Amino acid sequence: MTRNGRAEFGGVGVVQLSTPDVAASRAFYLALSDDGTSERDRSRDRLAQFEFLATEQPASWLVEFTVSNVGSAVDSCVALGATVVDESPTTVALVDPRGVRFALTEPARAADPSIHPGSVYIADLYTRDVEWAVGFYAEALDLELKVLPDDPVDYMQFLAQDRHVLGVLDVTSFLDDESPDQWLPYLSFADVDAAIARATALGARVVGPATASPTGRYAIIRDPQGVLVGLWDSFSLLS
Amino acid sequence: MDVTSSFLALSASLRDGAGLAGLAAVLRRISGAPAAFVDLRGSLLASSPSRSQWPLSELQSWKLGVTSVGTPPTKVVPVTVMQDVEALLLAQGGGEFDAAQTFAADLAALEIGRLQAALAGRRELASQVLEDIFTGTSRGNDARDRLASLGILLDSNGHSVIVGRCDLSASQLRMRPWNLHSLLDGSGDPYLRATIGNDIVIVVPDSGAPGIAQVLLEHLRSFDTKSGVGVGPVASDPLSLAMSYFQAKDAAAGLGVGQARPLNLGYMLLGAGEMSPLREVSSRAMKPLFDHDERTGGSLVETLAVYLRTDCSVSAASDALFIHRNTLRYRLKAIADLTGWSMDTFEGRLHFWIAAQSLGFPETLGTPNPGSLND
Repeated sequence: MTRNGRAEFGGVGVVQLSTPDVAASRAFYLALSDDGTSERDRSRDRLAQFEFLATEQPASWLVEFTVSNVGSAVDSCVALGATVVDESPTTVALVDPRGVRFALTEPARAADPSIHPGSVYIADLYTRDVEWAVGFYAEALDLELKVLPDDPVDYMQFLAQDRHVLGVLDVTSFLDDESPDQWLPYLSFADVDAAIARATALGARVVGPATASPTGRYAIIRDPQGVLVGLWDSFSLLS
Repeated sequence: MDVTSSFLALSASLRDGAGLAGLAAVLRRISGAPAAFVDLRGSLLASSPSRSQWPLSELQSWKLGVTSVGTPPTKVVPVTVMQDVEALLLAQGGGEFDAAQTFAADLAALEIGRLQAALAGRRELASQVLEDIFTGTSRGNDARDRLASLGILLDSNGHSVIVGRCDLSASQLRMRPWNLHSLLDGSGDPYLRATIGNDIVIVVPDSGAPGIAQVLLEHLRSFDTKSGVGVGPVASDPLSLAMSYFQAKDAAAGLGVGQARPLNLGYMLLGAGEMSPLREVSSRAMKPLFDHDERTGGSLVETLAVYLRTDCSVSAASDALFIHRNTLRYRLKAIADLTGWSMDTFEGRLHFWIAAQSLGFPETLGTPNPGSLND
């Protein structure tokens, strides 16, 4: 793991879901990602970007971010108060000073970069301290900030090479105090409303209904295991 | 805004096609406080603003007569369609907005009722297609084409049939929205849903079957606590889809979610009467035995035929086959292992007897060629 040179942010890599019921979670995301289009590549592993880990704790995500220089990026995070909690030759898991888990990994571990139904293209930090979070991650990961007006509060968009890669959302208005700060992946779908219909038929519940936003239509659901996850029309970025 | 202006604004919102999201937005504008619609599972249908805090977990156990939940209190107004509560309007703000909120709930009921009527027509079409396939009226490529027109592509990924039973009538089941999210965005049911007899039938991708079965059971139990849901095995062609239906129907007979047993032709006959593709399904059910005999040069089909012809007498059948009794028992166990049904049980004997009768053996041992009857 090299530590020389600047760490360039790539995007969202693998997303890990720790869940009390791996089989049920895997089945849910597999069925959700099946949008029924006849053109899709049937040989593709629709869950290639996902890892499912068994836990007895409530379900939670660990989102990996790809960076060109993991060592350098880790040093930046640690210098700002983050703590390394796990380390492998390619991936380092950290906890930020507010207790939020995330991981940094080499680009080689990233999944298929193309956008397809159910793939994760961006992640948002759900937090109650937007100002702190924006300051920490912008500096730690060398990201550019853009403020997008939204209702009821503005959306903080992080850019890398002029591309939307991450965001920060103030959850005070719509999540109760028991919901911890966390990085949430957004699953890509060309039709967010159809994805909501599938998700709810499969046992999920909608927490944030489908809404147009400056970055595309999105929604927030709780999957059948109770973990929050976003649905987002990231295909709109390509048009 | 006075009451008349409020009513006009709400009506205009619905007329302009803004749906429940539009009603919630107008209510927010009228009262200056958030407003939302939620289904009876506590899943948000629309909210203004879109990111607002609502007591969703408390609403999952909402009962008729409860007018307020959560802290601070959120007002709950039922959205009632044809005497059944289908959704809830959630509102904050003072009592001076009661009339507007009640009117908005009534408008939401009209909107849901309008969309339900359109959905019922689609379900009737789906019911006709599935019934034709399950009864053998439509087969092979015709069945595949008709399924494809409904969005079902039978392929290697496989689909399962889910059957739900409760004490609602067929017409009541056909009118129920099941999933308000897809109803309100105008896309119909998220997975092909039909009503056959007094059963709900849903065709789903294999990976989604357990979750969808559980959600369907929750839904049916809100009307009938003795509801049952059955999940059929994976199917990749029209005939196996029909078999999946009959197995799911059998599995739905109990309480809760039941997993299918191996297909029993007796139950299929009971469920389908004379309209079922009995010969083809019998052929499929016996195929493991024909395949075994062809592959190994064995005599399981002949053994089965003789055992049935001798009224399941071990001694008579072994004498007729010129084999030792233990050899006969070994072959009967192999038959059970390959088909999932044992000759030691009444249900198993009935199953094999129906197969033997419909395929024309024991008189013409081994003559049916199952491959020619497929699909």
